[in-house]
Amino acid sequence: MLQVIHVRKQFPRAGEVLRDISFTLGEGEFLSVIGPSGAGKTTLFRILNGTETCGGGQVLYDGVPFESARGRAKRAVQRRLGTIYQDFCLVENLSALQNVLSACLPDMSLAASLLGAFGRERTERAAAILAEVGLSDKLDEPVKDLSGGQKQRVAIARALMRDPALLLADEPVASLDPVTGRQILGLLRDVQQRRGVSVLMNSHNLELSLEFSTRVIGLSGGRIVFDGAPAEVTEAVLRDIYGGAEAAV
Amino acid sequence: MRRRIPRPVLAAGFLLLFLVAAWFTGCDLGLMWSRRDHLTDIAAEMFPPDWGFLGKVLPLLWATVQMSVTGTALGAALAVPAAMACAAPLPGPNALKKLLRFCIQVLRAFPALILALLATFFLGLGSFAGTAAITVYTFAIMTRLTYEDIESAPLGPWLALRAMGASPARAFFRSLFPEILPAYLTNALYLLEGNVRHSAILGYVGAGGIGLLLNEKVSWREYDKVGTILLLLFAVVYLMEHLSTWLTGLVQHERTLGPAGRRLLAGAAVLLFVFCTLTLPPPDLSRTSMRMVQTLLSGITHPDWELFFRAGDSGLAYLLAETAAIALVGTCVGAVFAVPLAFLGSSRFFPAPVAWLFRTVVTAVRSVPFLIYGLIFIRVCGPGSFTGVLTLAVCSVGLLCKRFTEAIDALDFRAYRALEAMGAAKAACVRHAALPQLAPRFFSAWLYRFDVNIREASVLGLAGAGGIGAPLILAMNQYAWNEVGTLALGMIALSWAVDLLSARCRRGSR
Repeated sequence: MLQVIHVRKQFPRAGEVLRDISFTLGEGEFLSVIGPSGAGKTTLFRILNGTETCGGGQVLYDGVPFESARGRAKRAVQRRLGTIYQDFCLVENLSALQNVLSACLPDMSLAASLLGAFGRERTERAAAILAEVGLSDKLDEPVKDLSGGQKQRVAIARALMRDPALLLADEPVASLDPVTGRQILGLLRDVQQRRGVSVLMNSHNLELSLEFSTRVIGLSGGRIVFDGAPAEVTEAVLRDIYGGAEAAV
Repeated sequence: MRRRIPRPVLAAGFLLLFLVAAWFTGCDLGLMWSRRDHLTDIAAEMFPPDWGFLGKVLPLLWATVQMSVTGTALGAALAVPAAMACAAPLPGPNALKKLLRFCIQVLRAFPALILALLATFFLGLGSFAGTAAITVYTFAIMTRLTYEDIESAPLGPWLALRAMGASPARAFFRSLFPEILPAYLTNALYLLEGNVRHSAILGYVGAGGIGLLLNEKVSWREYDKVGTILLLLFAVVYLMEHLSTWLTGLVQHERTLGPAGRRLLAGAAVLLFVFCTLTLPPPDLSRTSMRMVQTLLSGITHPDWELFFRAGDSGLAYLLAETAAIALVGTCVGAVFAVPLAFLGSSRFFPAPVAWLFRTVVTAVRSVPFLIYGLIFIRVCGPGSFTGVLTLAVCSVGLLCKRFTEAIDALDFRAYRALEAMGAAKAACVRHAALPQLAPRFFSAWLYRFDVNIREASVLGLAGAGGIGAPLILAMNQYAWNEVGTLALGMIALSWAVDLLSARCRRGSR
């Protein structure tokens, strides 16, 4: 479903951040991208969700080139992606329901979207998805009054509202305590198994990444140094990814 | 928990109130449209400006700046001890605090122009009276803002110093004062900026500055000379705003300056203040006598109750309602135009040159004294409250736009980018990610403007634009102090009511 072919990225100051990244992601996979700070995880993530251009290579979604797409063609691909962020990126003073409904905006006419006329069908679907992520009693609560874990649930519901084929999650548990983080990843895995969605997650949290994913990619210095099942991640592999220091811990 | 009124009901109620106020002030868009040519008449006559007139304008422009610098600095400095005496957590008898707060509230009810007119009775004509008025005006606002800041600052360090035996004043300047200093300086800079605009019209009542000349040239219809004055005023306001933005950035640690730079800046500020203050012309006390002061005080303290309870359009109730209606409609109309202009003036939504252009246009709109707008609109709609509405609306566009743009510049773009990444159209992103965040800030700026406009509306009378101002200024010029007392009482009550209402709205919108 996703093919990344020889992707490179260079920044004027930081130099080459991604060097020749290639991998494919199949349907229903839960892939974690791990690596130390500065390994290029965030840049890769941004290229995959279209907020950053790549300096070379190709990104294909279901065979359709994404990195060179503009305007309508790009939006058509973006509509099949759901993105979850570390800092949630929700509108704090709108309710949970309104935040989830905002995912429908790309499919609505300009007039309807400006009036906020989402219609009954969409509203009911949003409520059902919020119930699916365990927030049936928080529909009308302003997001600013929710806990961190609940906010991330709203963000997941917003992503699911697009009925995505792929969920991109950028450090989804970095702002959460360990117990809540585990619950959120549990929810992501449930969603992945129940809906058959693929998940691509960036994470600093090694333990949780290994526990929840079906596949792990290790990035170091802008290169893929490991690609395999979590069970294959050994001390030696960790040394390759993180260098000496972190593996010793 | 108290039950909240549903939003649609609130919105419908507000719309109804707006429509009633618009009807009451005789808003007639048809009339304005049919006479739209007159709008540009005066503006066209101002160009090209008469540059030969520059030599006469510059000294008076300097006097205007001088009045605002000295007035703002003195008012802000005096506000510190007054705020200490008013603030609830600091020691002092409660009764005294209540009394002081009451006095501040009374002072706050009057615009700078009315204070200046009053000052000319005591201190004679000239810049000294204007400076005194700006000082009192700044003092009242700064005291209020500062004691509110003290009350919301963390008290721990102050209590710790007090427990160690420091005197209240020393403990204050060592703990609370550094805490509130950035907000205090930011407020003072804001006021300095506004006071330049206020000082520019004080000449209308003989209180010095460029206003006198402006008034003269307007009444003689020498519009090319008026154009010169307005262009220079624009330059001064533009410079002041940029200076104040730069200094605010410094105060709020958004930009830094080396120790030598800091010393230089502080030295320059002190020097400017000393120079402005020492070169002020002395007051003209030749016509001030104890008897006059006595008549004035006894008149004001014995209000004309017949006027107070009079029904019909010359009674106090009608005048107050008219003033409030003008302020309400004017502020609303201003806000409607200010929102799109604020977006156009923000470099976060539009390319930098476009944003700069719109910001400059809005600064130009802001730098023109409201009486000039009053004169232009009187040509279009004739004297009356509709002219007042239009005048206030244009002034509000300029001032609200500034606040709105600041809110937009401080916007958290994360949710906006998230919607954009999903493929939503730009307009939809603004509507669903930016506006929900901006609405409370816009509302708060609108509320503040309305609060100020209630006071400003009482000056519109000078331009024949309705409200309580015309009878008040007339009564003052006729030394009819009992009537002044009644009208002042009405203004105090009105500004108090609006204050309570806006405090309630702020709590509700939180």
